Amino acid sequence: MKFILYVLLSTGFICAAENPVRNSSFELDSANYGVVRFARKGGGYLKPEFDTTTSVHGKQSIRFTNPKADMIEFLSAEFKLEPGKAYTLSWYMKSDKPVRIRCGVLSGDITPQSDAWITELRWMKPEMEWKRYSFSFRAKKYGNYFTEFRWGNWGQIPNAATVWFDAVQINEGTEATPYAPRATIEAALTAPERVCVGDAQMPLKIVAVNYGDADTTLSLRIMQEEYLTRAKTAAGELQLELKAQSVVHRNLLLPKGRYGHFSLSGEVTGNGSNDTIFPIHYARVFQPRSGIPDLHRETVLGVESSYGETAENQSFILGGFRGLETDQEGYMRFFRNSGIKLLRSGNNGDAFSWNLIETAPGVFDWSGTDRLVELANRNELAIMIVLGNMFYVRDNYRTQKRDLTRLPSFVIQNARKIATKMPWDGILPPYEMWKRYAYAMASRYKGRIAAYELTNEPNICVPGKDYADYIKIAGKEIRRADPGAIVVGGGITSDFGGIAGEFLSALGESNALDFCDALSFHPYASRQENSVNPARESLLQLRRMLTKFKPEMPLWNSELYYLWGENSDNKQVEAGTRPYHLAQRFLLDIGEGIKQTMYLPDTALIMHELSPSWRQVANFVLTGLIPSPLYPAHSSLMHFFAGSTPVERINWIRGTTCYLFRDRDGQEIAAFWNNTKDKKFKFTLKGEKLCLYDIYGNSLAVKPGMLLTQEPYFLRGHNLRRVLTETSVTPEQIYSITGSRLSISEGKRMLGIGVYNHGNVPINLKLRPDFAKISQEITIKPQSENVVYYALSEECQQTKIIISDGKELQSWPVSINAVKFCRSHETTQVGNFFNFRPVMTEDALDLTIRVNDADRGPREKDSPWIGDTIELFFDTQPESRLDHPTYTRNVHRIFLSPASSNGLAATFQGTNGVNSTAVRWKITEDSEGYTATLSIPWSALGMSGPTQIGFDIAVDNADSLGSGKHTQKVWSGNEFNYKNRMRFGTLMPK
Amino acid sequence: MRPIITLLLLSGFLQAGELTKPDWNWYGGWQINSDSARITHTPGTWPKLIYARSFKADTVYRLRFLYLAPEGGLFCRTGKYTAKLSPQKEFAPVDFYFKTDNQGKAELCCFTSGESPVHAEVKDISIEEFDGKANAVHLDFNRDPGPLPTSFYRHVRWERDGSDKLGTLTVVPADDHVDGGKAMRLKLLAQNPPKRINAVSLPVPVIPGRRYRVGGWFKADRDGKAQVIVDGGWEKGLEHWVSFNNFTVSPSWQHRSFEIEVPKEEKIAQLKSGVLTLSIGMFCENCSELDVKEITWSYIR
Repeated sequence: MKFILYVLLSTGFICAAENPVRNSSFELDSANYGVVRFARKGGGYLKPEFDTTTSVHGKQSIRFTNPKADMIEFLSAEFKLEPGKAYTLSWYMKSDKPVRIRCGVLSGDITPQSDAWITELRWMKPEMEWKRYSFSFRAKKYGNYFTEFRWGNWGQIPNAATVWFDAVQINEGTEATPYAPRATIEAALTAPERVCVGDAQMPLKIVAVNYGDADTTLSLRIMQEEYLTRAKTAAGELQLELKAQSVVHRNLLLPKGRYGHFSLSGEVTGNGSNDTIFPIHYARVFQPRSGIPDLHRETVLGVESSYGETAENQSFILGGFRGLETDQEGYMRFFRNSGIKLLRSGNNGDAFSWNLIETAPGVFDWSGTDRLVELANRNELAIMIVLGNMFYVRDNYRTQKRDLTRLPSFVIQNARKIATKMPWDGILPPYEMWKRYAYAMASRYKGRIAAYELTNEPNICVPGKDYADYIKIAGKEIRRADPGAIVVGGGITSDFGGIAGEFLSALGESNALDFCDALSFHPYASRQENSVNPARESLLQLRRMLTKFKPEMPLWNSELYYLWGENSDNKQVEAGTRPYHLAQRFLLDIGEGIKQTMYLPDTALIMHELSPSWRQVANFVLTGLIPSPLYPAHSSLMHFFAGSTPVERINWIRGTTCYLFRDRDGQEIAAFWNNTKDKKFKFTLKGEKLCLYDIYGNSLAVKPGMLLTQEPYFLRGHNLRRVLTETSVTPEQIYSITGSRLSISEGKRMLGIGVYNHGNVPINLKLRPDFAKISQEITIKPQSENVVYYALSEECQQTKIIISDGKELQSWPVSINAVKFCRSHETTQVGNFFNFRPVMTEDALDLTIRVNDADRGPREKDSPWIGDTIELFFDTQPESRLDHPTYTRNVHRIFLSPASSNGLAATFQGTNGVNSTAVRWKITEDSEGYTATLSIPWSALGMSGPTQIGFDIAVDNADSLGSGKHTQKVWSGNEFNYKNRMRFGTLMPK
Repeated sequence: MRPIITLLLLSGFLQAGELTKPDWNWYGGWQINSDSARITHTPGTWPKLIYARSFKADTVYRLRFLYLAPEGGLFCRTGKYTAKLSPQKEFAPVDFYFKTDNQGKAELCCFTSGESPVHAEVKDISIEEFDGKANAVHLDFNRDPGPLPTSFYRHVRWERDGSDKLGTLTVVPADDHVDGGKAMRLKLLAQNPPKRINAVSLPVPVIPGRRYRVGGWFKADRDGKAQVIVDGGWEKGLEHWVSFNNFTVSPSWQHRSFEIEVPKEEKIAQLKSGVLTLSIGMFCENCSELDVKEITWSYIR
């Protein structure tokens, strides 16, 4: 066995059962490893050392000293195992004193069946002499694994042991085989700094080891790949003479190049074998601006940061710092170089936690916050803190009872609790405590904290009218202590189903907004322009709501974690976040007049280089300050747009976005992009002396017919308004079928088919559904939708529309939603539960609804659908925007509720767009149920008279017996009527 | 009645629904009803139905009629052009274009020929002046009862011995086209295909020295190539003018059209006839089926 091993080592032959762990003998120093240290407050970052006095294999081992008992995480680079096979992890370790170490392998693979982490972990206690440890496991999922060793503060018990490791191996089978490194020859790339600022050259180090007994010559070829363009270029080729059993280091300088994000990888060949070099990454960015911005005047792109201070239970070190191969100063410098100028803190992590600051009533420990404020100011970063963190107590976190609030215990003990439907209770602190804290913070940091956001997302914790009091108190105290600070109220979220309208109204009606300088919001329900709830429409709606109370109040987008997508799956959204998501959101916000925009977290700017296949939340496997592709995008956005003001949105065709700004120097600058997920466009700029840039700030040649990408382009020049209005933008797909809707005309069932012209000239089309014999010709105006009708005699759920522009034919499958029809003066029965009779007169819609429900149950005041309620749905333009299933401005809702068992009186509510005061209604109860009558003037729905209208009715039912059961019966649609109008029925005149 | 006839005559429309002498002449067994003519062909004879009147000089006319010829064997001659009509088991429409000479003469007749007895019938005959500048010629297949098209036939090189060994030319449903209806399908069957197979049209009118547009809808079974040929006609000893227009095809319907500059008759004498033919070809390297719809021949300038 030994002889064979010798032959294998000396010939450099990599056999099929090679050890996949890179640098397993640590001869390449810390290449291909990551070390995270959760340090105590004020602690620095201690790098591991390489101990040449003791080793199992090669000339050195890796040693971790830990005098301050950091929690240390020691991770390898990812390697691939074959799913289903058995493997054994083995390693050598020793320590200078007893310590428990959690050892093993992890995988972040996700499959449709399970998205849980995969872990194979064991607890081991090293001895004072080298000893080999091992265990076996079976690889699962896709087989992307890395090793992890963790120790230092388990159970919140500090352990300052020094630990050594060497000879880490994974081999196939259930027994540990004799140790062998990955290959006889190994090479790696390292770089001390991963951010090149401005024109700086990128220093690189190549380190190689020859484990064999014969001298060899290595050939290394290094390639660079640019993230944005996928262009690959040769970055270096060299030959290295490597003596037997030796290591060689070489330094390399990459020349100045383009801005952006790059990966460096390569191949090493020698002695008839070859291997790959694990990729490393770096970014080139603009020189960040100096000075702290004045947030009253200058718009910047901010980020939520906890300064690397640890969150919740990740480290078990309260208020500690997570060192990603650097100390806190290095951490802040990394973010400063990205161009960040605004930090939002106090939401996540321990930074600015009320319970760590006010340790007893009126007793303040400013040591932590002094340090953070100083750190931020020294790095020229403006700070907005979330004062009071969040008014909640997480009493029931999943299956455990854990109190995760950051409010002081004395506040909680004296606070009023508010029950919510969330996995936490809302908290209303005593006014005096809130007042004291606000004044203390603002006076301590006068002139040094730029803005105070009054708690985070109060609308999912506490009622609006109560929160209003806290705005008034804190706003007054902060202005008294620091008149220059910006008071930001709101933090209104649409995450977790949060609803803005009523909450904002409560703030407005109570004059709380008089105590704010800005209103903040978190647009989780409308992240992008192509979201189901489009971001721009949501901003316009928010502006309209605010206009009622404070038309000139600046709006701040103070948090957006999910920059794209519709769901809230952290893993999926994180893995799919691209630089253009960030850029589009920021540019849209400032284009629409949002004063400040912030996203979270700061770690979105860091990539998990060592575990590229990790699909869980990224935070868990960050090991070093490696810039992510978002990092140079942030830099570029700040370079071009910090301090800019919006001029106007230029109306290009649907699917594209174009904004014109003036930059901080007053010069014109524009940004434009493709805002769709899957459509393509080309554009041709017309103008002279135009300077075009890509998302990272690289100059581009202006050519006709350029592809309009999702990555925004930036444009400088003169008379840009004219240039942009004359720009030709052509969609690849000139037209599309938007959808279909059933209707009835002259007694015949008809299918309306929507067709949209995406172009900017009229088009002539011919179309025919496959059930029809004759085609129809239509002319559609640019950026418009036409609806074409065909008689449909049979029920069908799907059809194919054949459509031609005279040059090509396309075939579009279209689903047909079954909808119901009712006519004026006819009574419609819905099961045994209810019936309704509409009467359409010239002036109004009169409705009589009979509900056979004698059992009156409880109702939630602000959620009438949770209770006995009649819900009415109206769509005054049901056959328009057929590709927009969510509510349009033409969709209105009415809730009509009888008196409830929990004491709520009968009530009528209409959503925005319904002139509720014009509606007459009455509910009559009897022993069998209740009858509701309404007279809704057409004008109350924004209509001029009776016409075919999208209509639906749902009756909600709650039982008095407290079963908690709630049911709903819908006439035409289903339980998604509240967000999807496509299944509303149709109400027709007699 | 008279005023109508006068009007029709003045407009150049000759409704020859009444098959009577002296407008028409016939021999060889044609049985004439008022608006139709029927023949049972006897091998060795050449029964003819002839239009006997003269026309305007140097004028293009369109002859249109329905015909039935289950066994084939029916021919039509217009001017110098003779076409063998495809067998049809149901009445099928057909158009012929021809130009009269400077004396208003052009032979116009239907006859049967062959060595087998065949049955044929023609009816609803109309002859009218055709203004080729104002009116495009549409060769579509929607009214063809099938299986064979009436306005196209297989090129002689394709047909060879008259069998379907090399491939077929049929009319098929075109439900996947926006206009529905039918299409003409060139289908290759041979194991060793030739370079291409072509279907040739009946003559279409042309004014020499002018520009025309030819176009149509095409769909193949695979990505490949096809062509539209505009053929001025071959005559021994004279220059033969042909315009080849190749294009790509795919499994999706696509419209293709080409501008054609027709030479002057001084250069290409055959064009004095006032007609030429169109040919649709499928390159057999990749495709084995080509569907064709709505071939249009239209005057530009």
